[in-house]
Amino acid sequence: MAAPVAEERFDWKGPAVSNRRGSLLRRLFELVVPPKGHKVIPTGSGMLLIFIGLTIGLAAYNTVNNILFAALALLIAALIMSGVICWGNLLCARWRLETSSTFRVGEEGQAKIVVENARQRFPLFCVSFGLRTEAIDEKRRLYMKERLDPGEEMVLVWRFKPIRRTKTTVVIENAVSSFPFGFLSKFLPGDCEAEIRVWPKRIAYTRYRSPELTGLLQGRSSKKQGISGELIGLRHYEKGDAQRSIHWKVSAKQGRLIVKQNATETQSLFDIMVDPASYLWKSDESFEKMCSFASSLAEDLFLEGKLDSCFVVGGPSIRIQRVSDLEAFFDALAELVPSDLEYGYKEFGGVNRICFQPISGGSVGAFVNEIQVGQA
Amino acid sequence: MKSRLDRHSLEDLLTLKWMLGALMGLVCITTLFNISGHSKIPALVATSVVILALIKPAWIARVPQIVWKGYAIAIVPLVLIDVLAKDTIPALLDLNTWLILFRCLNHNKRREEMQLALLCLFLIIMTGILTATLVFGFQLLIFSALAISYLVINTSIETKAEGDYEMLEEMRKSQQIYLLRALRSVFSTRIIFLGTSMFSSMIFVAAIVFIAIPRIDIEDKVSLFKMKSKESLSGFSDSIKLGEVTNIKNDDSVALRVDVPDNASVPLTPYWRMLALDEYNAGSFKLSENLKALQDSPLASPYHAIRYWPDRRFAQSPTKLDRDRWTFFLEPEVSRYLPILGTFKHMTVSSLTDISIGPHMHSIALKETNSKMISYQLEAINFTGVVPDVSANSYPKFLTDSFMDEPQRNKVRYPETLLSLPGESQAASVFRKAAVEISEGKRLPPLDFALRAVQYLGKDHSYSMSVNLPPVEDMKDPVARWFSSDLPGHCEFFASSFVLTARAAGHPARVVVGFKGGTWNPYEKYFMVRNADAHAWAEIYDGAGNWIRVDPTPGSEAPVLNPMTELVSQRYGEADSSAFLDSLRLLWYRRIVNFDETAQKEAAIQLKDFFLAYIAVAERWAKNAGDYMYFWVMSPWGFWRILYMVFLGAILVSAFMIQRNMTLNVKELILAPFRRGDPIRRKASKLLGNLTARTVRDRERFEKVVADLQRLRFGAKESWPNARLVFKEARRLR
Repeated sequence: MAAPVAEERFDWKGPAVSNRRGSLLRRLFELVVPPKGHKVIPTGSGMLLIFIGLTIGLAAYNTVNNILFAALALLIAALIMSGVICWGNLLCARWRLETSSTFRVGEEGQAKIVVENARQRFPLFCVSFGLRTEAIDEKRRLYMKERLDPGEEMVLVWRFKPIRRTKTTVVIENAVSSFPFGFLSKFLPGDCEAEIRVWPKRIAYTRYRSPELTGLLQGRSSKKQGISGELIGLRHYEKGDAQRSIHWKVSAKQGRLIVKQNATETQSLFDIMVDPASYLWKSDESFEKMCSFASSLAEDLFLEGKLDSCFVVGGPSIRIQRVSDLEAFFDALAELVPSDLEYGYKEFGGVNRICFQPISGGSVGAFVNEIQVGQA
Repeated sequence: MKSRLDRHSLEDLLTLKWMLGALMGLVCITTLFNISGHSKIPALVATSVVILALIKPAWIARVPQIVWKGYAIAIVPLVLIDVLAKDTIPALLDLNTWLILFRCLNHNKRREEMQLALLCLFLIIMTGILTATLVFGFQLLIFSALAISYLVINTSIETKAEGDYEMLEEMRKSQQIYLLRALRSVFSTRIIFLGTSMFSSMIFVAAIVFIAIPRIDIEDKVSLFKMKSKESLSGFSDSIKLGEVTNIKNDDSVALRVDVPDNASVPLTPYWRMLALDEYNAGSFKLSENLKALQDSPLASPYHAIRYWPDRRFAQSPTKLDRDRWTFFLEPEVSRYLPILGTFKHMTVSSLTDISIGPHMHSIALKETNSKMISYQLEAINFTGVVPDVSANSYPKFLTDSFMDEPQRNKVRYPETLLSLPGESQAASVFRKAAVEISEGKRLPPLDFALRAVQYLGKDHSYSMSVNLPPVEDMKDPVARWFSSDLPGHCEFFASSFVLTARAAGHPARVVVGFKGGTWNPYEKYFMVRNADAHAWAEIYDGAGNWIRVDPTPGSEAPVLNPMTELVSQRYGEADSSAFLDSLRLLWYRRIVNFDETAQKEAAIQLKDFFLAYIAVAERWAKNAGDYMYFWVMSPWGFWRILYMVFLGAILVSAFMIQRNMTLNVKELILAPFRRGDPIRRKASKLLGNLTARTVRDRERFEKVVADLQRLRFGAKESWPNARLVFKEARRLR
């Protein structure tokens, strides 16, 4: 049995959102002067109908022929009904926007519109939504292909592959209904946007196994991810240590927090430092490549359990202990832009600090203590 | 979540769209059958092809594209020939028919759909203007219903295909058409209910718009839609041979409808006079050439009527005077002569240039026989059956002579025709002999002579629709042969014999044709005059400037100066189904075809009065209620009264609480106060028990309903779904 879910948990938008109901006077006023974004626009066939109506009207007045007036009345009635029904159709619709948790350049992500028909009796027909995001150069219209019965929900999905690393939003621009005759389209503002961070693209790169590096990268790798390995001793608690690594018995005896020290901790760990200084990165292309290289390397090192922390110059310094930390680093990378300011960073990190610098041929190199350890 | 009733596929919708397009075309083409005088062949061909296509869509699908292309090209020369051979409008109608036939069977692209809709609209409006019949009204309704279904389905298709027209076109080309499957897929109560309500509300809005559109009378009317009628169905022309009027009697269709004011008096037997004929020749009466020429000349314009009828007015709008107004609706193709009851004070017609007046014969005619219903209004009608004479020299002679050919000037002319007898001397002597016999050698006043002549005729002759005249040697004139026999005859024999006898006695007389009587329609309170009421009677000159009506046919009233009348409210009529259907036709004429500025003002005033009356009633009610409330509050409050009010309040509150969630049936509502626990939880529990004991095919839906029921049974009230809907769903699962 599904757990009861209070409706207010979701941030619904649209005309059927109950808390948006104002006073009766205000609603009446809105009928006369529509709020911003609410508009009714004739479609191509609607324009044609209006034109035919004008011609028939002209002929009717010239001939005082009631058959022509009857035809004109039918055309006008069709136009009025088209407007009223497409307005009424949207009146009890509400929607919300959901996006996938992660977006990465070149990998498919999705934006979903959940539409609900809040009516008790009548179905909702033929509504479409306009969607836009700067992550790709394309707008998309999502159509409700089936009618939506009272009280039901429908999910419209837009799958797309972002083409650039950015921090941006996915926006529902409008909700449109041309039901029933397609003469008029009622536009309502979408009112919905979701912030997304598009992480750098995962790229192929080369890692060198130079003697200096192998010396540095000593120690055995662990098959398990995270903190594991043989227990080699105890040490004082430091900020960021996992709670479960606390040795409660010893802590209780000593009166302060003591944690278990594992073998993996002593393995040589790397720090990644990203410097967005604009004097380093002359072209956007190499800057993008550096971001992609940094994220790909960070991901791999994290999977190997050899990543200690990441640092963006002029930005956050993140100790990488779990997946969410790595994601925070990717988020920082997503919105990284070349910066003109110079920051001191000598004090950051340990011995194995990986920095990135442009090298000849438009490539980007990764350096540890001035020794190149990788290239992309 | 997906809609549960997702049954109609894109293919089904496309099939339906095709079918609706074909039906739209069919309805439009059938409107062509309403136009009399228009060649029915293109409409017949097109109708049969569309019907065939609807019965066997596969056959049409098998027709190769090249055939359609050839057809489209062939239309051009076909129409060119049409234009050369016919008038513009018939050619235009034919062109439209061929184009609709092509388009309604081939409409795949958006552009083609618009073309079809436009062509249909054009044809239906054209035929509507040309005919304005009630049948057209029904056809327009059917067309509107089809058109809105077509548009709705089109919108659905567009959304379903995400606006991808190329894909749709490809799909349509390769698609097999299964009409029945497609129809079955959309046939549901919900669709029927939505469709009906959408259609009826559109018609309602259209009715309001139709009434509310301001009518401004523009004087300069474009005479674009005047189609010449090719044939006259009835025989009321300016020359009538014996038996022609009787032939018309075989047609039972309604020729004239006369709308009578509510509290008016009407003649017991109305005579709807159309035309008087003066010249006699071998059994047939006709309008003499010089009168005919005059009626077709500019002198017959109503603007000249003041010359001979100083007390009458002709106008395009009614007067403001408080007078009885009779509105006449003459069906198409009856005659160019308008039926009138007698003299009148004011005549309202839509266009004065369309009518011409023959003052001598007291006739009003159209320029040509009407191809669609025409209406006119007469005010202050005189029922005496007497029409004034207009002297033959009311126009200067040089004016009238200019309209005559040279040979005509030597013939017997009006007014001499009013006394002319058969050219055959033997035939003439028959009437002279009878005249002497009737007047017994004396010079009788015309009315007395008429009375005696009618009696004389009735002595030897009775009425019969069919007459077999025996051959008589030496006499060819049929009227004289009948008159000298003792055979029964029809009204024309009686009228002609009377006229010729009167002339032989020296009284100017003429034959009048028109309708006699008519059926009273009690539904809409008007006269229905059928072609079967066609009649011929006579008029005799009284020597004092008047023509007196004499109906010599047996069974008619004797010639009098003041015939009997009765009140409309006392009149009885036919109240059968055909009268009801006919009253619909009058409603169509009255409310739709003849709806003008005045009618619009009347409607607005009626609406205002209606609302004012309601406001007055509401005001009175509110005042009474206020008085009662004051009295009620001020009267002393005792213990029992307070108890009674509290009890009443409690009932009201509980009724309100119960009706808020009309989830329970009557039995459960009544029993609820006597049972433990929440009635909704109780019902959910009962339904759960019922449901779990059953196997259901639609597993997914079943599980959802069970989950909802469980939430109602055990969940917190805040998490409850709409109990009414859940119970309904559960019931549906049964």
